[in-house]
Amino acid sequence: MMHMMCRTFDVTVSTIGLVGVAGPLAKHAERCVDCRVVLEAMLIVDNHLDSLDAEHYRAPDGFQPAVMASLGPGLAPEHGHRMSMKVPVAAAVVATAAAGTAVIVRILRTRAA
Amino acid sequence: MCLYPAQLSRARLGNRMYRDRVESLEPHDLVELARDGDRDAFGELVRIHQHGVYTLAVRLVRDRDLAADVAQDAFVRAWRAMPTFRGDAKFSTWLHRITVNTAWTHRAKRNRVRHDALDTLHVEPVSTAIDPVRAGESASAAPHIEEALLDLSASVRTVVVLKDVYGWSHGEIAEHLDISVTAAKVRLHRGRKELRHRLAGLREVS
Repeated sequence: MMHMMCRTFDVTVSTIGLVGVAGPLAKHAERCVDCRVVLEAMLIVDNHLDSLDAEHYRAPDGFQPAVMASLGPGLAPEHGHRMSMKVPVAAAVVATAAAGTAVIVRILRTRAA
Repeated sequence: MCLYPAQLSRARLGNRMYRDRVESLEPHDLVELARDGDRDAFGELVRIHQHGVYTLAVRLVRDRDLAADVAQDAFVRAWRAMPTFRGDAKFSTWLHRITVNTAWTHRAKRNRVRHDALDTLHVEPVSTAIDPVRAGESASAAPHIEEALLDLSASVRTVVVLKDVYGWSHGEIAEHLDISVTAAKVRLHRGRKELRHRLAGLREVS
């Protein structure tokens, strides 16, 4: 059965990484052969993952023109802020028209009375 | 009609000269122009980032054909969303986030149609060079790490790739993959453990 400290060590290096190996855990790793093996393997994994090239694979030939073609002639960035102004402006126009109509109706009623 | 400064320049310079000028611009200026709807600037950004986005897509979905679709779709989404890019993060980081979301959508779609064919993967590495400082014992397994990574299950691989290769936080991963932070940590734990065992296996073989 796995020792409690070994289990803690295993979970720590796998979730937090080598940064988590400090204090009692580091001391434990010095004494425990199994955990030292885990630590060394983890170092190798970390180094490998760190060294992975961000451009390891090459995009297929003609990728960039294909992307540009797929944008299509009509497809343009969506200017969200410009679209969102339409509703408030329309609402303001309607409100102004309604208020104006109400004022005119009131004036006409006053005159009629 | 209102013309953006970039369009005014294009009108003055002509298309070809304008394109040449765009190619010599700094990435920051390209982003600014693309945000204003300049296709040539965006095209140049695609050219610059295509391999990076494609690499991330391959690491996320394994299948190269699907990765090409994901990468292409990610750029289309990026183009449409350009005005929302405020420059808080690096452009490449922003693109990566879009790529992850796109990959997730594509994978879900494809899984409804058929399961990933494991034998469809043909990888063409651009380079397998590693930092000479980190050479030594780990160098012997270097060509295998990419392979080992791709052999992880999709859900585990995605978390390991985003955390350990692209430096995302647990929170970011959880948010983008729509999983809990705990789930992200558990998957990372599984992934690292599996990679560790695979690399240990390689060492024993060699």
